Amino acid sequence: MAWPCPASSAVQPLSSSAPPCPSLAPSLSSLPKGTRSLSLNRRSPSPSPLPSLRPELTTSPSHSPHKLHLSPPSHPPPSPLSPHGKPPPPISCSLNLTSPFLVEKEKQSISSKANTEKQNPLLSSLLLSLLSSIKSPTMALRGDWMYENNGGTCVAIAGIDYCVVAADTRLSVGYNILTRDHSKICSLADKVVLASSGFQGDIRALHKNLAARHLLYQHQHNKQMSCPAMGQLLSNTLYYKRFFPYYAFNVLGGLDNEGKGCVFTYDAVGSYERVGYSTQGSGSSLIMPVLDNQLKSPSPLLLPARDAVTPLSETEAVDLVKDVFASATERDIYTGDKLEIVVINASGIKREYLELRKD
Amino acid sequence: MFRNQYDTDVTTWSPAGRLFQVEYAMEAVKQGSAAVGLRSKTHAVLGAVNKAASDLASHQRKLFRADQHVGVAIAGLTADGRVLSRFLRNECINHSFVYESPLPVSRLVVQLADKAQVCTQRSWKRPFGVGLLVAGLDETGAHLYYNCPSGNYFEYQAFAIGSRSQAAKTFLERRFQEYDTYSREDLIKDALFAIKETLQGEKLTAQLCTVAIVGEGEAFHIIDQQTIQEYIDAMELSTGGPDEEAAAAAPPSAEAQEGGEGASSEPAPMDI
Repeated sequence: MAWPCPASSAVQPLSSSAPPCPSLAPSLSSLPKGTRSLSLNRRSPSPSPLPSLRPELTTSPSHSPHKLHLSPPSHPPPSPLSPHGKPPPPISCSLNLTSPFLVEKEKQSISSKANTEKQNPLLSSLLLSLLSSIKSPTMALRGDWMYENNGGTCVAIAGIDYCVVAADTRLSVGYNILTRDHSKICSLADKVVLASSGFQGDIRALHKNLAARHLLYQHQHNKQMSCPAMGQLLSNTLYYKRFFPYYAFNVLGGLDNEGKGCVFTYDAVGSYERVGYSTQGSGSSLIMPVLDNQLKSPSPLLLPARDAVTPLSETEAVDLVKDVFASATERDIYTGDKLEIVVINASGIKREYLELRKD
Repeated sequence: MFRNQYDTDVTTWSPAGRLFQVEYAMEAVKQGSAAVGLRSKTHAVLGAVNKAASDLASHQRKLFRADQHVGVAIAGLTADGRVLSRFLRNECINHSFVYESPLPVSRLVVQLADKAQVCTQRSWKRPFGVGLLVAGLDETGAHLYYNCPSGNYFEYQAFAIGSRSQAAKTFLERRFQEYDTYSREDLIKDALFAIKETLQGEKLTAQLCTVAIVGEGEAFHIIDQQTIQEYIDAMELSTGGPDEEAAAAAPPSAEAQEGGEGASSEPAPMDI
């Protein structure tokens, strides 16, 4: 069952013959060699979703086909959980699926704090208000401000017998680029890979911490840690610093004990959930809707809860990741330079790189 | 005669200036089954005899990995050895966490020796009853150290500890001068020879011994039984007659040993 998304019968589907928005066309032709072309029109439209969840979709024939969400541009993209701030229809599970912590986007205004609070009851409001004003001039110039957002985006997708974890390699601060070649991905065990975006100092410390804990585990138990075990360990490690958090937004990917793909997504203080796919970081709000639309995973809102791994093949998933990063690079200034893709399957861990736009 | 008066407490000196409790602890090392170590410039090898308490039991683990570049062989109270191995692992992890580089072996043995010394100077503690052969590789090459319960440590080219280790030491004393230039395979063969010396007549099989190696381009690991058996077979072929006669004289004991060992060739899950 497809994600309840704008590509319903009432709205022009993605593969319509209408040309893409003209403002996008010049940038398409100037892509560097090797970059995947934006292929928004490539895939067939998903079958019609539950229409009752999105009544507003019946009134929008005039939207251009490349826009994937229908709210007015000034609001942040609504998650399926709370379209336009209204609570979802009576379904007993209250899943918090997309990255709850969107405030790392510099462009987001302070007024959006209300929206994010509704989506993130887990984080204390104090933490939110501090971090949502992270780039206001007064905070950034304080001598004692202990965090910095180094940007970047991470994605992880779980498949039937593989897992894809990808992140860009740009490190930035403010409007500057610090380096184009910094890996956000840490290979923790032979079946577990962690990608984090946020403050690079905290990320480095967190990865080292987990690697040392994994070494201890291996000494004690004479085997590698499984992905669910590492998932719990990461959550506990993050919550341990609940009152001075790691400014790291994590996606953990790997294979579970049965060899199926396994992705865990986290907020900054350790709230985590096993999902079929996830994205974190500055470009996450650009990427998440596309994954929702394209991965053909069962909807997490359905009951009984279904395994959300994508039925796509490994090459299809990797292609999607490349497409999605190419798109995010266009619009997010903190994403770009190079994409590092790590694929975990039964034969081990494989790494691949793709050049992205450098502007 | 005077020994018995001054040996109750580790904090009591004897009139001759000895700490008897510490010396008794070193005796405990001699009770354990043998362990040997030898090194060249680039590799270090540790070997141990798998002595089981009875035919019904499995043997205890004597070789432990502390880090990629360091391992230990123990002789004496295995429980004390396990605790010290955990200490060594923690020290290695802490150092590489803080300094992003492997802990040099000489520093590791100093920390271990200091820990052992503490137990010789507290009235509420007792000395560790285990001797450790620490083999590792760092920037200055391969090293082999022996840590005593007394808190002393010495560097060796080759050494053997535990019961019947004198025979192995005699063998190693004859050969150690050339070890610096020995190849990896020759080192392993000599370690197996040294272990054979401690067995004094029993036929050497891969199930009776454990061998581990660390060296340039090679992390510390225990060599699998099949490879060890191949080394042993190659050794017996080259030495020929005397070994075969000894083997013919003692097949029943060897078979009984192998029958007991075969069922328990896997190490206990909590050990590494």
